[in-house]
Amino acid sequence: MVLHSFSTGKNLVYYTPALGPQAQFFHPDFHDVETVRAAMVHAMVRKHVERCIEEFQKGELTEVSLRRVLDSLEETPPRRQDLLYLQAGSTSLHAGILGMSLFQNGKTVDGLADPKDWPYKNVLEAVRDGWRVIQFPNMALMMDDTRTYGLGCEFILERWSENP
Amino acid sequence: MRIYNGSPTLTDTQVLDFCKKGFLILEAVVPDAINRRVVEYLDKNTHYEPTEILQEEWFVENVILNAQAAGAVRSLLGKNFHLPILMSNHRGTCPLPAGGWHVDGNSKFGPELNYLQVFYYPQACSKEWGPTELLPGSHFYFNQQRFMSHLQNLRGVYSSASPAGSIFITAYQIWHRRSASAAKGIRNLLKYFYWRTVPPERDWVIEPGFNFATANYELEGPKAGEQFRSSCNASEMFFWLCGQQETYRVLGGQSWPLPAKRLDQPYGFPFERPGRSYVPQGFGHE
Repeated sequence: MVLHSFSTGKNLVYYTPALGPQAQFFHPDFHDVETVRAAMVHAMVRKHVERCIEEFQKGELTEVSLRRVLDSLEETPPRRQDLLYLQAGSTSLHAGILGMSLFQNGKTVDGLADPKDWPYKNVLEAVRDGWRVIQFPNMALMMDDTRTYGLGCEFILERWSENP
Repeated sequence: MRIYNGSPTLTDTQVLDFCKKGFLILEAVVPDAINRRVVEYLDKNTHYEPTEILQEEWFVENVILNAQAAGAVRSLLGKNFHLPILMSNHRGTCPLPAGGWHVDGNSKFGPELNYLQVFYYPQACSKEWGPTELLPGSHFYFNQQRFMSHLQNLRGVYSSASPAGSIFITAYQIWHRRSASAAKGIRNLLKYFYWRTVPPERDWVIEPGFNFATANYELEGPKAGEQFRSSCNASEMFFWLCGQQETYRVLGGQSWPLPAKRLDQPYGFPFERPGRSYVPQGFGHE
């Protein structure tokens, strides 16, 4: 599927001729181009299925129409789980971050050695950017106040990225 | 037995600083001629354990018994500390990616300081050469190597980038890693281990007026753990090094050793006069 974009000054707008001029996707509603692409593929599959339903109701459904649906599913890019480990100062989503490890599209993301370059200041900022918490800090590690185990409050988050 | 009987060089404040951070750096303390000779030696003996270098008199005299380094080790490990009997070389061909954060195998966590892991750069190690990074205060963060492999970027990291001839002395269990390097060529980093042979006592350079009650035991900068935990950890190690482990106690609340601006000696200070605080059973001397 070919993706086109233009800027309105405020927003970046994505569209594809396959979906017609009405189907437009605004950045940053979708946080990255892979998410936009996935949303477009979803819309295209839906459009083809709707057409199949119409043809079915008219008694005109053909193998060609059904194959068109299958072909549009082929457009779905393979998805990979991205992982973000955030070691925070406390269990609060607002707590400052002591450490960050980022694995995107099957690779370790380098270049974040300096905390000034970290994309998020706390867990909440990551959640607002589409990350989902899949593990909260293990409280059992914090029950003994005389010992500090690891960096303490580790959140693990995931997001799905498309394989470009 | 290979032991050292020289004089200590660290003061109370410097020993306490080591307790807080878990390391200290002595920059460019080994003469350039020795550094060059070490590099030449290591170009011939490229084994990861070039232990034979410990049989070279010139090396022992200038590196292992280097006045400043041995003086610092003497301060922390007491008189008659044992000299290294094993030499490791973290020799790598740069550029290399960053290594993983880890503690060395067989790490023990706690207030005792019975041995030291020491590193020596025979060549200048700027950031381009991937100097070892250390996490200040992490010698008190219990962990195991296999649970640290996912850690990447940490706040408050100290880079040991330093000129040729620099030696850094660490608590064995401190968290560390090789940083990424961009330069091209061979980098050597020697690593060796001293240990204590006598019980701890405060026989380093005593600072007149050093006040145990008002000293600042809190680690500066980012830290993990419960609030004021770093003060408790560092003060306990400091008391242990002073041979006062039986005296040490933390009563809780606003007691010593929490950092604060007080009008009087802190509640629960271990050396306070008898009867000034009610000391529950199990809180050390009384």
